Amino acid sequence: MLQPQSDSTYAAVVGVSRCEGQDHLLKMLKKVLLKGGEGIMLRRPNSMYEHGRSHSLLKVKHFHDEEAKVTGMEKGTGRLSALMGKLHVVLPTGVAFKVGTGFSDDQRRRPPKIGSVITFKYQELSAGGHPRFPVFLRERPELTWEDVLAAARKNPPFSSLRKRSIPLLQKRHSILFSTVPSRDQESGKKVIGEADADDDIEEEAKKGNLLTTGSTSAAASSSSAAASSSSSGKELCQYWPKCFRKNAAHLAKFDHPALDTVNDSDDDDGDGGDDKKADADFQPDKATAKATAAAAAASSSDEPRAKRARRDTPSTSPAPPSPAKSADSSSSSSTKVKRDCWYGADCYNSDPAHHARFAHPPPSTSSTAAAAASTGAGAGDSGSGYIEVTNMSQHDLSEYYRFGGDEDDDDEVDGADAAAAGGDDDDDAMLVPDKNESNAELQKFNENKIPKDQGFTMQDEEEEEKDAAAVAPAPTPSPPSNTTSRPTAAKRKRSAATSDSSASSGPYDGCASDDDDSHPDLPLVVSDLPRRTRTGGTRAPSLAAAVPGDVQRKPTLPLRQPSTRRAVVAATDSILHSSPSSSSSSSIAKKCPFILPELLLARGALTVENADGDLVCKKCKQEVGDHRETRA
Amino acid sequence: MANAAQNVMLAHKWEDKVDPTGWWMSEKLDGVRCYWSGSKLYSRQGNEFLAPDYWKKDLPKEPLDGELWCGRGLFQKTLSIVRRTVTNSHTDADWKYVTFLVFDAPARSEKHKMEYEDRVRWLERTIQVRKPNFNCSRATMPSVSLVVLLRGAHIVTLPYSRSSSVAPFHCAAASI
Repeated sequence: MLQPQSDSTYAAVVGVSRCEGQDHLLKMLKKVLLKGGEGIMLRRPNSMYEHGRSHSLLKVKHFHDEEAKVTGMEKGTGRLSALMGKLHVVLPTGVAFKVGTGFSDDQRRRPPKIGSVITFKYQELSAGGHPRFPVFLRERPELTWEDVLAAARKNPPFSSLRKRSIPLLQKRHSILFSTVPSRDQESGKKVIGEADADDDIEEEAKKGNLLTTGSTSAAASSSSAAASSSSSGKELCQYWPKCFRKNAAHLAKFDHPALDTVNDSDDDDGDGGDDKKADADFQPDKATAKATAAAAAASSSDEPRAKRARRDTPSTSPAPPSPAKSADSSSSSSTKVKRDCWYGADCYNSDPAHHARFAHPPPSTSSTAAAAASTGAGAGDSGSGYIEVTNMSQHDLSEYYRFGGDEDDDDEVDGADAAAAGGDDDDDAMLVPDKNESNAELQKFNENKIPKDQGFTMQDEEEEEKDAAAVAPAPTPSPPSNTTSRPTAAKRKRSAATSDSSASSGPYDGCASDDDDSHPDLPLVVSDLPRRTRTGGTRAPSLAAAVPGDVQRKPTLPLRQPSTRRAVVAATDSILHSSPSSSSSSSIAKKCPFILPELLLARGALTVENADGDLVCKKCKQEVGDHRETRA
Repeated sequence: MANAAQNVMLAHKWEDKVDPTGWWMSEKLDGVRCYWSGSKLYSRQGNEFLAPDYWKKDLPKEPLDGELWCGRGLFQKTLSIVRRTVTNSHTDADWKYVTFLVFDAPARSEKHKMEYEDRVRWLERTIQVRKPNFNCSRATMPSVSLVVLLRGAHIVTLPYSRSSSVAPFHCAAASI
């Protein structure tokens, strides 16, 4: 019957309390600074509202001071263009920054010498550990830098104040002398928890200092955990759970609890009652030795964080660097804790943080790239897989370009012709196609056209690729966004240009006219290709190096880069699936004179592992290895 | 109104020579100064903060001086929420993190010649942050007042709420 009132949840009155004297003021200032506040405002009693700067309203802020060494200076601007504008200084901790205010003109005229010691004041530390609003106070000619360093060893700078970390964005519950209402995000109920109030309200209420009365009712004995600044263990990373840093030092310094177990904990908006519960849960009986890190994080951070930390599983605080290279390690167990590395067993990254984060299963496991390599080597028509693949990279490229020229043509597929064309094809001719030769070649190839709608099946492939990536660490670079839009535009243009030409005209004819507009695309392919070829892991550098080769840049070549990928995918697809009835792998090989198995394999998306561990085509389940052997 | 917003009360620095005894202390908030004109929020530069309606609907129709605040140490986030010039459902949702912490009511000073203490009391009455908050309607009002009376309270003050279906004087009469 009694429903919560929807009153001003988003507004509150700032609580005020009568000051009993300077000591009281400073005590409160210290208190509020400890809690991360900015300072205290003082309001003259019985004053009226004034516009502009007024002496009825005073601000009390606190400044800290430290010594720093002058390392350099720069000229000022404007009025100070003839004088020193800023001092470059460094702290004993190595933090370097600039001090640009607090100098008199005389001091600017004769600035402190480089290497001398100055004292500056600052208001607080930024999240990055730099003093905020540094103001020059005085020179310290009596001090040498060695003295300061020695003093810093005993009493390090900033020891008096905690390094400021940005708290989570959520409704706060209290400020000095008053509470701030919050609303339960799910139920929409307004929440003024008992634990929300700070003890200062109660304290001040006892003394009768509070002017505002509404907040006293909410005063509670337990203060929130926000004030405590002691941290014995690792602090929770301020970016967690979205931290993307892999730096080992960072991982070692800050806690990153696993996310799987805490996904449900985001629902809370940190309402007061729950906070209290969380605090209670942190009694020693529950905070076992396992949860020490979590407890430490809780004591040093805000309440919701504490709750999250409590729910995390102890096994997941930063995993120790383990290469996971054991031969029999099952990938399923390793993926539970870590995701497989993009590069699989061929990963050359020696960063321990990387190893801590990603599993590197041996080639025998589900790493498709590695498996691809082994299959290629096993099928072996010319030595070990990787070396050969590297040599073929240029070959691949020319393939890409050739297909690119064809993709938009409207001819129909003729399987027999495709087979015939395949029989005649020659690797060397393909590598550096002479214009005439390639014209003839492509004339033939032209009749072996990709159906129009293959371009759409490629979209499906892309999605399947993503699925495959979820299962195995098969690298699946998604094409740049312009791959879809660009060919259509090009097609339109071209169809307009060659509207009267016969359907059987070679793709080169069509493309040659497009040369001038396809050349600006070159940078695209340069940026695109290395991404694509990363699929092979170690192949990326060689192929990237091959890209700028003159061969590929010959103006006679049709450079239709954005569409090449689609064309290749479509071509491989059509070859693998054009005759689903034929189960013999040799027929597949015949139909595929130009498609390199490595290309297929490296793409990873077309292949899956069957029960025997062989790589087979994802759709027709035919072995890819056979394809390669028969070709040789 | 924007003119008034550009001319809000600002503070001097406190110095040791000023005896703070008897002065009113409050926390200095690291938020964004904001002037509520009665219908709109303005920055000190006179630009409007585009707060969503659900956020504004319970504010009184009187000028207020205060601070938009998300929490200690969250100045930058506050700024990023309130300074948006394009609004959509996402930016509107972000406003739920923002609290308008009111420290003065300029119009009460100018029109009603109320002193600071009276203004704060008035603000307290106007912007309620009290524990028992009930949705008041003609149907529930008698029972609410009954419960409150049974608990020993003498008066039920009604928080300002435009959504309330009962006019304040009705409730006041019923609750005594």
